[in-house]
Amino acid sequence: MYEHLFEIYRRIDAETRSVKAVTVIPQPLAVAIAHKIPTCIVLESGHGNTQVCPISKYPIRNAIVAINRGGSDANTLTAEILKDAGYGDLAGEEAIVRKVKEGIGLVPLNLERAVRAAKGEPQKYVARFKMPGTRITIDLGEESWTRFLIGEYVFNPNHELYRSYFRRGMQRPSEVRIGDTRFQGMLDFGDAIVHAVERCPVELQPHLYRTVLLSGGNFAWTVPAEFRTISVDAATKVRILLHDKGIEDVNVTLAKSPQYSVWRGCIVYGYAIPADYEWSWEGMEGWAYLH
Amino acid sequence: MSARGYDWSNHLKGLGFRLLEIRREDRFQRIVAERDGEASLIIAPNSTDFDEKASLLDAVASASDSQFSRVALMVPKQVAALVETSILESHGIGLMTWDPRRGVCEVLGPRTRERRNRPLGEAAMQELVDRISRLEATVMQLLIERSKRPADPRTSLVMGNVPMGEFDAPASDAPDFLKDNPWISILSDRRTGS
Repeated sequence: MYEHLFEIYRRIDAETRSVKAVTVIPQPLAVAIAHKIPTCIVLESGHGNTQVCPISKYPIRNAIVAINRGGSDANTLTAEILKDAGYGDLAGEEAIVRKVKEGIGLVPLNLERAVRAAKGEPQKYVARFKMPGTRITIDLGEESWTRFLIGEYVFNPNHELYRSYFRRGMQRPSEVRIGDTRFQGMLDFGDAIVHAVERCPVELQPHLYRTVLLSGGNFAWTVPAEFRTISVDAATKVRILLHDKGIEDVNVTLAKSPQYSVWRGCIVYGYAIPADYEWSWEGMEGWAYLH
Repeated sequence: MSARGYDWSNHLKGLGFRLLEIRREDRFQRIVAERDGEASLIIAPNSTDFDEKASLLDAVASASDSQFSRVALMVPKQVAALVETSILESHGIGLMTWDPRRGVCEVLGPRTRERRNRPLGEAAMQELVDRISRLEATVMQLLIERSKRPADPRTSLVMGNVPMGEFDAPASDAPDFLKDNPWISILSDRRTGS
């Protein structure tokens, strides 16, 4: 991957002689830099996958935990929920499914309690969504409790309520290997953080737990005012998952301006890294000079 | 298409030249550039009306009279065929062509000519004195301007003339994500082999 990126810039430079040097920065490192935090855990979750990266001045590469689960898996579950609710014709439209996920999906404080409450008072928790600019309105009616499944699935897909979906053919997030990296499928985010931290030196572990930074579009979950007692935002959910594992005093924060934080981190990195710090394949850092 | 106002710098860089000076005169531009440690004079006629060939001859004459050890003539690509390269070659004068789209191309490399050690005339001496005075005034002006500007650590980095780790703080009008960012000192301490 890195060689391929360098090769692209080498070709650009051969044509234009406009690229003096190139470097590659892991995305979680750029996020930590943008947030001015030298020691932390960055949980980066995008469309296809998630990674947990401990950082202490450097990314601790052998402690990174990669998860083969991202926003697209919550889309898959949303499509199944739409089919069950009689909207099979819309379930194949990826853009609609994503909008529905964002419009009705909620992250429960506690899944079992939320489902029980929503089944008891379906009108209070009704999941109704109108597609902007269209006549399409989706109403999950009696199945509105499933809106809590969508948010929970991102953070922890292990609850028995998901089994019926797997049995009916929904693809379970599977373990895959890409290069040297093993992406686990079903690991919950709390366990993933604990696994990553426990691969780091013991003396560093309390410092890493102190700041957990959530980054990426998969953490943009809103909490409607009327559901504040039963649903939570991403930071609170991760804090709860860690609490369940016995990890206290954790400061979990959502990256500010997530659409810009990676760029900002890259700017600081390029600004501060010495010009004579040459690229090293051992450290995977520095400037690779092209001419 | 006119050579007047054309930006030679990048195109000459592509041929390994470092642009030192451009003197724009009425009839042609005198471009002084350095390559392989030797200064070259490149004469580029401003006019592209070569029907009378007067401006071309003018440029060749000016080039051959030069004190520079390497001299080249630069003409627009579409009129290069008018130039008899064998004559230029016999006098050691190089030929370059330029084109607004494709830039500068070196058709015939100049031969290093022996410097003529004839004594400088009074006029030439006065010209040199004037040029030194102009350069001194320019340097002084640049020094004054630089002293007014806030320090820019990036400039120091690029020039490589500041000891590692001795960074100035970002300027007060720097973006918030740069200000008080502990990563700046952490990253600036990175060393090859560390």
